Amino acid sequence: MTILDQQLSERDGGADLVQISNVTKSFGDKTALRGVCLRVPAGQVCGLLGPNGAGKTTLFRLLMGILKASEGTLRVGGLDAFEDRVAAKRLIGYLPDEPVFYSYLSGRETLELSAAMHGLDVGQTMQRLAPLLDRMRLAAELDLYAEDYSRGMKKKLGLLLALLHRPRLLILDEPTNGLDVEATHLFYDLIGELAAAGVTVLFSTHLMDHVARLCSHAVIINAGEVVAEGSIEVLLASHGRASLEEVFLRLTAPAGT
Amino acid sequence: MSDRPASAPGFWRSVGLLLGAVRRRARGRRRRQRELLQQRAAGKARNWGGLAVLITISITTYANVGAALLTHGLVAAGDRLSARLVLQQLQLQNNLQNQAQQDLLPRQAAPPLNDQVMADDFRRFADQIDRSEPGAMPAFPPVLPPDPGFVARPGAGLSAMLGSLGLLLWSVMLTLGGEGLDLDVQRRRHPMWEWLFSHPVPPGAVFLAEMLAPLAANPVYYSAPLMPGILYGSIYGAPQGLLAVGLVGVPLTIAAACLGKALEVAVMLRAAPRSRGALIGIMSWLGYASMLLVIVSSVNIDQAAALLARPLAPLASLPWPWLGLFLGQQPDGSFSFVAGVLTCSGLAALVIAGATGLSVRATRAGLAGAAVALAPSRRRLRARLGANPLLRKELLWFRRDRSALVQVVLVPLTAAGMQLFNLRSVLHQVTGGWNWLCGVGVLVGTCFLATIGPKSLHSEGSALWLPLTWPHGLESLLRAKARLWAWLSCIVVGLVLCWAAFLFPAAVGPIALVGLGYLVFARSMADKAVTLATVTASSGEPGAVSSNRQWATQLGTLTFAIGVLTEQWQLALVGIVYSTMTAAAMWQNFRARLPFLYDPWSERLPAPPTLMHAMIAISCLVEGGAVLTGATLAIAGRGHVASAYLFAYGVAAAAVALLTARFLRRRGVRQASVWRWTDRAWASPLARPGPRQLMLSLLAGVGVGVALGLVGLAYLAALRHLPAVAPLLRHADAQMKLMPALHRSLLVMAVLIAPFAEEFLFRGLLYRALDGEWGGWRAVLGSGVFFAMYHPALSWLPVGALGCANALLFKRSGRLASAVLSHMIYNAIVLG
Repeated sequence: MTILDQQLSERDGGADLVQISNVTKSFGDKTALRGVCLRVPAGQVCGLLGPNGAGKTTLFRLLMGILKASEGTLRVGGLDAFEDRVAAKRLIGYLPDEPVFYSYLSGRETLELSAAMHGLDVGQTMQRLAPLLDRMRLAAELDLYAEDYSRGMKKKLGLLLALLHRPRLLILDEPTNGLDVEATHLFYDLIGELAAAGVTVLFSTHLMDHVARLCSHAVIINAGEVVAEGSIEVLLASHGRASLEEVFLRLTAPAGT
Repeated sequence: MSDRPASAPGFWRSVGLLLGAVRRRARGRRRRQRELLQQRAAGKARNWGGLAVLITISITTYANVGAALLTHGLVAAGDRLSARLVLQQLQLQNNLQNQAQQDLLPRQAAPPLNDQVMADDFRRFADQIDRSEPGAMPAFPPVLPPDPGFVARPGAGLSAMLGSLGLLLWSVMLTLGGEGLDLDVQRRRHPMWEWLFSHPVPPGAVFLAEMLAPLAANPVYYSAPLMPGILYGSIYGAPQGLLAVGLVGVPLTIAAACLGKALEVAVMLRAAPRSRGALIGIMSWLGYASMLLVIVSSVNIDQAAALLARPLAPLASLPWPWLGLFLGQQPDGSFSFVAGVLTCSGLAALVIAGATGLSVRATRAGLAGAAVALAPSRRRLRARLGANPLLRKELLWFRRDRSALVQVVLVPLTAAGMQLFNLRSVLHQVTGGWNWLCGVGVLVGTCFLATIGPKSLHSEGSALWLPLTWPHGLESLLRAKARLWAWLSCIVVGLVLCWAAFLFPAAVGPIALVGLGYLVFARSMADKAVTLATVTASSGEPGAVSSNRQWATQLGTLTFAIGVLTEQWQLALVGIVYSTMTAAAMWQNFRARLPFLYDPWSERLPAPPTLMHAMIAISCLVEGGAVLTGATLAIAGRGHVASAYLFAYGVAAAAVALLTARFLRRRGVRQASVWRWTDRAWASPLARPGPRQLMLSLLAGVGVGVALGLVGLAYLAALRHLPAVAPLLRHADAQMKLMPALHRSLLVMAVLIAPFAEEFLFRGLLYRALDGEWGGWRAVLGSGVFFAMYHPALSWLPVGALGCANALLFKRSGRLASAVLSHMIYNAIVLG
């Protein structure tokens, strides 16, 4: 696990890696996020929960510097997510909900291109990724066109792309959506190992039991606002519920029901 | 969503619902573009969208009317060409007879007068056809009475064949017009049908609606019914022509849209994913190219007929009943309006039903089909992604994705061909000299780039998220594309130049120079063109490009091309420099816009003063000065050249400086921040505030001015010894001596007015903005060259040196005043 060893050495103590303060994002007259405040310390695995359309993907895109916040600031490792987006992108690995690849490049070529664009040595990076490729059972398929991959294989390739530049923050948008059981377990094992190595992981999902098992922290967003945040135990205790699912349903229920 | 309709909507209701959605989508798209435009310009933008729609509709109407004229004209030309064949036989007979006469002179009488007159008549037509100048062409309607030629043609022969070919061209144009090129290339990957079929709607209704969608989206269909109307009108008279618009034109138009869509559906369902784009791209291109062909040949009917008739003459003996059937011709040669209407509308109904049925059947056979996993060639590509991995990616795209050929070669070359057609009066003189051919080559290359640049991100599709995760990803991607486009256009222009060198071997030297100039020019032009790139929304709709920016990309092109065409090297050089500077200005603005590519709601204009502001202000000064001088001379008379010159430049300089200052003040830029430069890394102790530093800065200005002034004098003295320019200078000196007033006013202007305005614009605004864009020596040299360009070519060297020196002076001393002083002293020494 060379990739993880190297990440371990980059570990820095204490400070919050992700600092989101008072962020509002609107598109025209439609407001997607309203006054969002969030802090994620380095090395934490934080689950982002929320109904569809709550603003999870918008928040991720704001962190990636693809969108600019209408109000408020987002910081990753002390860098402004929009103003310093070039430097911030070296710290962040991103896996979108449904990764689409160039139809004319094979999986290997996609990886090599991405490595080169991060300014890494292509040969060394591919060597470093080799054990991970074996674990994902992707090595044999690497010379097929990435566009023809199955959904699960696309997700695996997307995760490799997100990991290859050894990011300090991993943003995963519904990473296990559409994966089979084995691949899901593999993904969660990897997330656990990365977190142990000091990588901060911010991921969104609809699967509460996975959050409860993996994350130390959870954030629940509804209609663009953070409705609950904290460690799982605190969330359960403060709402007097036995499971995260109950807390979620209670907090995200439409008014009047 | 709890209230579910009691029953699923029926066939026609489904069609209506789906078409309503298409209309709403088109309307919403227009509204969103308008809103974004307003948002960006803070509510001050003017909407030219209506004008663009009007122009599109006029062009497509022209194409449809042109198709009618073409078909009509082809039949007439076919008649004349057949007549010529008859004539040739007649002549042959005549010759034989004459031969016989000569042999047996006393025994044979002269041929009858009647034949002689007829032969002359035919010869006249034949001569007209043979002549290639368009002015000499017989006008429409042709000289032969059209009705017998057009009406009484049986279903065979040259005219029937040519007429049927005209009809075919129109059908291809309509059938493959699709929903417009941009939309189709994107839609190939996003069929909505899978989703639609999960609803309880009849598949036939879905496809009928899908097939009618192009009618709503592509303006070429709006005016298509005119074509049959005109043809019917020319046979049966105006009232029947009007009737035919509704009874023949409308059904046929709908049928053409349906057929085109059915072909698209077939490609989607039956072709492998990787070939879909190529096939649909080629189909759309064929539709587009046939529209251009219709437009081009409808104004050159006789040339088109002659061009077609020669190779296709052997096929003329086959039956060509299509045009006759289309117009309701009976077997006996007479025409029946009812028969024509019945034939056409029946055909239309058949095509619509057939296309819908075919689509439905294909869907039943398997919508998701044909997802074949294609393994890349076993010869694995050892990807050595070295210096520029993105360039390699683009080359792989070009090699593996067959739609690249359509996007990168066919479409831009067609557009360039269209431009050539527009410039056909120039083309007639191409063989006149190497420079004409080179100028045309430059224009073709430029047009190629202008077409391809805005589509730069289309081939990325949904994979564009990947570059967004790389540092500088999007910018590097567009730069790589610009380089690839520049190469491609250099290949195109290189071919033209090679041809020119082949035709004019004596001019290889100048042709090579043009090629060298184009290498530089193409880079700047490609850079400008990619700044027009838009992303496609997830729904498959392409973004809009502002027309201002489209115009800005063309800056410098004409100057370069005209410079080549007229063999004025300094003009060509000015064009290249101007284009390069515009490219820098457009990229500065583009870089400010780039982060908002996916977030147009947050987009704001870049902070002033930008390079573009400086360039616009400089152009206003130069153009305004020229216009004012002309106007003053017109009012005051030619006797007052000196005062007119002084007055006009003074007024223009003051007005531009004041207006620019006001413009900047309204955008929060204070004058002090233009005249002083404190925020930079290239600091020197001179730049600090304080009276001593100010004195030293001004002294430095005086020093630079005196030194460069002396250099300028020496340069002028050296020029006087050059035999090529010495007489020119002597003549100018003599002129000056004759008009002492002119010399005085020039001196006043050059010493007291120009330095303030020019330093403010060229150093205060332009150089500083360029420093932010290029930085270092490149910015110093670039601003110096740009400054020199606005002066006579003979003084480029010393003036360029002054420009560079003043830029350095401004940056080092942090004070524009020292540059102004240096400029004043230089002008005083050189002109005094």
